[in-house]
Parts: sequence; C-alpha cells; structure tokens
Amino acid sequence: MSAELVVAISALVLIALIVIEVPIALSLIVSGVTGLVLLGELGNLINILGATPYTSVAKYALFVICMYVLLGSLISNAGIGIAIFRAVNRIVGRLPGGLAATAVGATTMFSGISGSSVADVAAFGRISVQEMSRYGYRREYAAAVVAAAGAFAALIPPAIGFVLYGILAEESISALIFAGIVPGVLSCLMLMAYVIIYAALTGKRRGRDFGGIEPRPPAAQPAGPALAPTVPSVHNRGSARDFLGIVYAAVIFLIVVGGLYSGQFTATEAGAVGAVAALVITVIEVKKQRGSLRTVLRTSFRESVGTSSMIFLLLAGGGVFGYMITLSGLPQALARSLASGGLPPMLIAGAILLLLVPLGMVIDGLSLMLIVVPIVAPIVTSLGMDGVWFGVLVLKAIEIGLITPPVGINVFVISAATGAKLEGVFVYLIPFVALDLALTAVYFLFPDLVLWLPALFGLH
Amino acid sequence: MTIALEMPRTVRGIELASRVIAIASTCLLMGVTVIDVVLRSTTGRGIPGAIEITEVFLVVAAYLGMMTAARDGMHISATLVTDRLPVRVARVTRTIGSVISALILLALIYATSARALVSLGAGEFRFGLVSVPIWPARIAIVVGLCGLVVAIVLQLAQQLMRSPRDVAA
Repeated sequence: MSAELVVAISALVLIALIVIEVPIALSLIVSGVTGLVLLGELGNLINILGATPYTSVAKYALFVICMYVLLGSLISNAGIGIAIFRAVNRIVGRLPGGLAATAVGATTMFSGISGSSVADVAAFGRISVQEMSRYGYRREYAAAVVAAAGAFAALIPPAIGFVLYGILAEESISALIFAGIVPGVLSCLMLMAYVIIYAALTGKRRGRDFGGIEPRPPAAQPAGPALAPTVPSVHNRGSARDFLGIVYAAVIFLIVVGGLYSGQFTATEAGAVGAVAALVITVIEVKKQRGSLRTVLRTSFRESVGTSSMIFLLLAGGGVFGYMITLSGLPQALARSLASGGLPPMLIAGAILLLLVPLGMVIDGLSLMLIVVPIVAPIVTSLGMDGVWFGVLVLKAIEIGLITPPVGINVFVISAATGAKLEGVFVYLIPFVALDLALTAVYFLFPDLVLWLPALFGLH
Repeated sequence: MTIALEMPRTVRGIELASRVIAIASTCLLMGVTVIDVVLRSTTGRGIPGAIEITEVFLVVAAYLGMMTAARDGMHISATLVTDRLPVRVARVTRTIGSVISALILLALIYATSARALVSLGAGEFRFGLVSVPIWPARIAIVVGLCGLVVAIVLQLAQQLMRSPRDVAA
C-alpha cells in the first residue's frame, strides 16, 4: 500500500473518531495505530505503544510547558490577569469593540510572560471570555478572539516554538527570538485594529450588539465549567492596583527574558524561574488582599496539573501519529519532490509553508515541528534562503493550524475552559485565520520586517 | 469529556493521591531547576543530573495528573456532530466513542505495563551525569492511564444510567 493511501486512511479514521467524540489525544493514537498496521508494523506495535508514552513526554525542553502553565494559573488566580485586563481596558475599552481589543491587548501582554500560545489561552482565556460574555459578547465570539490572540502572539518572546526550531534546525535561538518580536507585536496590533474597525464599520459598538446577552451582574452568569466566580467585573471602579498588574507582568517578563539574554539560564530554566517569581508575587498579592493563600495555591496547582496532563496526553497521541507519518515517509517525499522540481526557491519555501498550514490542522504544532523541520530547514537554507526568516514563518504557519479545524488546539483548550461551543468558535475564527494568512504573506514577501531587529542587535 | 465527572469516594481518593504526587513532582522539578540555576550562578557548579531528574519526574507529573484532568473535564473532544444528532443516536455514538477510548487505553496499559515490568526487572536508568532510575516514571504512566480508563468507564456508566429524557433536557 502506498504511503499516500496509508496516510489518507489514517486521516479518515482520525476524523471519524473525532466526530464520535473520542478525545482528540486518543483519536490520534488510534489513527496512528491504524497507519502503523497498514504499514506492516503489526509485529512491532506493542513495542511502539509501550515506548511512545514515555519517549514523547520525557524531553527536557517540554518541562517548560508545566512551568508556564503553573505560572499562568498562579498569575490568573491571584487576580493579576484581571488587573492587566482592566488596565488595558482603561486604555482601549472606550473604542468600538473595546472589550475585544482589550482581550487581544491583554493576551498579547500575557504572552510576554508565558511563552506558549496554548498556555496563554489555557491560563488567560477564561478571564477574557468571562469578562466579554458578562458584557454581552457571545461566548463563542469572545473565545474566538482570545484563541486568535493566543496564536497571533505566539511569536512574542519567550516563545517555546523558537527554542525547538533553533535546536532542530541548528539556528541561533537568540536570533529567532529577536526576529519574532516585530512580526509578533505587529500581528497583535493588526488583530486589535481589526476587531475595532470591524465593530466600528458594522455599528457593533457595544458587546451586546454582537448578539450576546445583556450586561449582567456576576452572580447571573451562565455556568461555564471552569469560570472563576470570584473574578470582579472589569468595569468596576479602577484603581492603581490595575496598573500594578502590568508592573508584575513586566517584572516576570524582565526576569525571564533578561535572564535568558544575559545567559544566566536557558529557555527551559526560565520557565521554572518565572514560575517561582509568579509564586512569590501570588503570595504577596493574596496576603495584601487578605485572601486565602491556601485556596489560591490549591486551585492553581490543581489547574496546572490537569492542564499540563491534558497537553501531555495530546503530545503522546501526536507522538504515535507522528511516528506513523515519519515511517510512511510522506513528508520527506513531498519535501524532496518540491526541492527537485527546478522551481524558484521562494516558490518552494512558499509551497512548504502552505503545506504546513493543512498539516498543522491535523497534527499538533510540536509533533509537526519535530517531523518536518529536520527535513525542510536544510532544503530551504541550501537554496540560499535565510534560516531565521524561514523559522519565524514556520512557527507562524503552525500557529495558524492551532486555530483551524479539526485539531485547532487553541480552540479546544478555550472551549474546554469556558464552555464555548466548538463549532461556533471555529465559525467566528474564519476572518482571523484569513488575517493571519495575509500577515504571514506580508512577512514572507518582506523578509526585512522579520530580520532587521536581530541584525540591529548584531545577532544575525 | 467536556463536563466535570462525578466519582465514587474510593476513586476520588485515588485521584487525590495521584494529584498530590503529580503536584509534588511539579514542585520538585521547579525547585531542582531553580536551585540548579542559583548554584551555577554562584558557585559555577549546578546540581549533577538535574536534566535527568527533570525528564523522569516530568513523566510522573504528566501522567499522574491524567485522572484530575478527566475529573475536571479537561481532556478535549469535539461535540460538533454529536450535538446535532437525535438524542438516542447521539447516545449510541458517544457510547461507541467511549468504548473505543477505553479499548485503546487498555491496549496502551498492556503495552506500557509490559515495558514497565521489563524496566523494573532490569533496573533501567537514564544515562547522564547521574544515573536516575526510569521505572518510577514507567509505573506512573501505567497508573495514570489506568486512572484515565477508570474515568472513561465511569463516564460511560453515568451516560448509560441517565434516561434519554434527562439527556435531552
């Protein structure tokens, strides 16, 4: 049986299982097993299933996921996320679509602390969606804005994806991180401008104009599975404490990024140092508010353990599926045929990136990076293209997959955290995906937008 | 698994014990890494085997939190189609999905148990600056997957016990 047919059958099995509500992680394992059987690996199946749950998780670089999720949980349960949200809302909240713009701005700022798009959405999304739905936005629209903001902000340092890309493609991680700043910030500003202009043009100035519920007191909130009931409204009378939230975010950002750039610790260690800093800030804040530190810590650790396990099960599923894809040789065959066709290098790079978008829809970003980058990065650099520029575009293409069905992990995470209907979120995401694709095309056509900052700092 | 799961007392106790170990492992990972950074910055020498310890306890934290994730409805599934099906058809579809989930988990438990027994028998350890035994991580994988399959079976049982009228409501 040809590799193409095996992968096609496995993809069909994956879709069928997702349709009948099998958890995505287990769907990936079953479809991976189907492909492995079709590839004649039946005799080796027990070995693969016995080894992959360990090998796909026991990676030092992945430790940062636990730490960033914990950091996010601590910060949001200490009420610092809501303070950031309020402070940003004071700046942009009066504009049309102001709460949506606030969600984008606050998520962007938070991504400067957490380093993982999924972690941003998992930790910060609940607050944004709760606030937006409280003020009349449809929960699905609010979830779509946050999921998109998480993906758009994925390039802002510290980005886990750049660390992995740098290792896999043997590119400078520092150059990659600096290269992500301008496109990351620009993308978020464009998304913020989009939600404001869209609201202004359609006359949807207030949250309730989007077809959602009327503003209501917190007690009357529709019950989402994990919405924190104690979070005060963003429209409560503001205080200096709101801006203290931004100060805390800046402190964590400086500790993490400053330590990283000074060479004091690695990107993975930065996660642990950031989590300890968040723990200290949480203790200070909760004591100041005379809240129950025990409750905040218990909730934060419970959330972080559950969320991390969910992500790691997805990675284990992606590991089995990715192993099958690698064994089929399909990505390699596609990459080779692209390289040997005598086509212009820009066209080949563009074709690879376009290929990543649909692949990112069915394979999680990390597994996709592990499968594709070692193959395509040497091809692109051997054709004389810039590896750092390509790395930024690869991460951007993969992040588009995070908000695109059927395996849009950001959407699943926010849907699970807020109770927003999955299909409704995907519908509202369509214009955001189009905007993301357009921005990626701009960074593709104008490499200087990506490369000038690392060049300015002498890193590239 | 999009809604929080009701668990009997004994199962809740197992979930709590797993969660406590997962949280302790997370704290250990955080502590070891930060102390390693501080020691390296101040004395020039970090904790020997910090990376190896991290990799092993990361697996422990990841898998022992599976039951908590299931209890809190965190594992992701899509209700895109099942929500639009007639109640009885959706119920049958979800039951088939749960059975498939349980079966693949049982296959995983079988495979990882075999691997864990070999690891335990051979005293498998992670090579590095310090030799760290891997078997605790391999056992944690089996325990975590068992917890997950229990959660899925409980969810299936609760689903079947509810009358179609309750489901529709």
